[in-house]
Amino acid sequence: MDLSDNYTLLYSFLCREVLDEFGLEGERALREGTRRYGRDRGLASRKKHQALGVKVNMQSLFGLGGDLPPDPRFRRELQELAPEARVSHTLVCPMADVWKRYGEREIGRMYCEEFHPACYNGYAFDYGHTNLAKTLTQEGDEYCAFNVVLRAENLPEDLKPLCFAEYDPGYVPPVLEAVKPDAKAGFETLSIKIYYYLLEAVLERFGAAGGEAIARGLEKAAQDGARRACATARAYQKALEEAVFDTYPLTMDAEKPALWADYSAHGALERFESRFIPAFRRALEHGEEGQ
Amino acid sequence: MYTCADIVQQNQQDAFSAMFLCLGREILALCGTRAGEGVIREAVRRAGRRDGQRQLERLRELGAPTDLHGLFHCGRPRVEDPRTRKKVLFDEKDRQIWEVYTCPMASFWNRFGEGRLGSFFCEEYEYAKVLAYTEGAGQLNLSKNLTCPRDNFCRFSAYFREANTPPERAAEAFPPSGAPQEETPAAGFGEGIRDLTISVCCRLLEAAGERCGSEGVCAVTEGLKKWAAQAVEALRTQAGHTLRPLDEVFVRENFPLRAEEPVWEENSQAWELVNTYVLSAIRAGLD
Repeated sequence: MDLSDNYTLLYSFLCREVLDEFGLEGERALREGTRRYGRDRGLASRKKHQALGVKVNMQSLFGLGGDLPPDPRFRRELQELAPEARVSHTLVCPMADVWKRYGEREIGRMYCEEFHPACYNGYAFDYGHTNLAKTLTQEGDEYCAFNVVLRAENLPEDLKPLCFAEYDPGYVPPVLEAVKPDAKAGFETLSIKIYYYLLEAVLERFGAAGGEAIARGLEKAAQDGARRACATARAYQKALEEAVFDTYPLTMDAEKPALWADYSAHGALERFESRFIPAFRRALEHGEEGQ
Repeated sequence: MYTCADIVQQNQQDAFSAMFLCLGREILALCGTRAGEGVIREAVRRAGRRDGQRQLERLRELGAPTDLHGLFHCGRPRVEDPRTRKKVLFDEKDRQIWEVYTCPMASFWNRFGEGRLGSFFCEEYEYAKVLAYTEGAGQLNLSKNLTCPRDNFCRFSAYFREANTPPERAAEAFPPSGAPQEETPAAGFGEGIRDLTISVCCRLLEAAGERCGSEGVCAVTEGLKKWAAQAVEALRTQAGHTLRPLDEVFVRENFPLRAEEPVWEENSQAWELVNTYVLSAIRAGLD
């Protein structure tokens, strides 16, 4: 749960600094960065599914276990899962909850509006349609109402056999074992990606000033993450370094995951090492009370 | 209890719903369920796109902000049938959220067991309209709809965020607050439903012909024949119920098309077919 909260808050801390500094133009960059992030995840899922030999449709996207590690607080009511449609209600969303707790519902709203269509439609060759007319990040809504569709007859002829078995005579679905995503590795992947794409979009628009805003967001995320680690260490009587490893998705050791190689442009890794890690270490010294 | 003025609007609305149902059924039957679905979806998208573009042009001519409030509430080409029951939750420049609890189109299609066919319209029309109006920068979500047996309301949300809009369009859609904008008058119901009927009918013929060739055109023609029979019977019943003769005046008030329709510029072949199979049947049935 800490991993999930820290990943979620990384987004809002970065966005808050950019919005406070640049206003509407900052929002423009953040929405674009969120879309790029969503698209990356959608394309990665599609690539993985095609390699597995499954059809690229809603049943695969939502039934094969995505890249978001499970959170035990999450509650969903699944109404339909079929190749052309996935209809569900999200009754409890830990991401929405933690954004609201930190007073950042509007930032969460922006995430929900931009991430889901970019990810799900991007997965489906841009022929999908994500309907999210109710969301927990919207005032007055008591659940998220997802209706994500990919209609076979809206596809060009060459994509139909890639997406639907009934357009691919002779297709035999592979036998797959469900693989549970590792929480630490999973949230680390997502955290690297979300940070990278927000940084990229902000740098494109604002240059060094944008990079500095992101760096300030990293420091604030670090301070908050350190406090959480201290609280967990105390609550579960763990050694502090163990608590840090268990609660924070981003690795702070010298040996970083290989994924950084693909997401190190724009000085992303250097910025993380020079601004996030020292801030985290300083905050650890102060414990749960913070600075 | 509805007034006579309400009833004529309802009759026109139901005639549109019947047109979509009759043509849709024949397209699915004769072009195949798969190809037919593709035809219908494409046709509805084109109609939605056209409506969105026209509303944008209309508001630009009026000098009104081209935001989401303008799309859904200002000088609209069509007002709702009085049977529609809905609640607007948010009416803002960049956010429109509403729920529909009673929809005469969904009711009509469901009554004839054609909720799935109706869902093609629901899924494609507003989506295409919003995208065309916002020039690709907006979003339309329809998470629940009355043509789905699981749902007991439609839930729409539309977004058109200034931060997603190119600067020139943002200046037009979200000008700095000034004097309150006068509400632009909506078109009359009759004009609006006539426009929608012609638009969807033309596009069904267009898409069916493009994708299925002569079989597609035949399918639409067979659909028009079915619609003609339904329309004549419906008009006769409606006239009887309201103690009126079934004459040209009655048709003009209770049917979306006139008994003597001028040629449709957008698709003269569609006009020719409608005139031959639908309007002539109606003319023949007049008292």
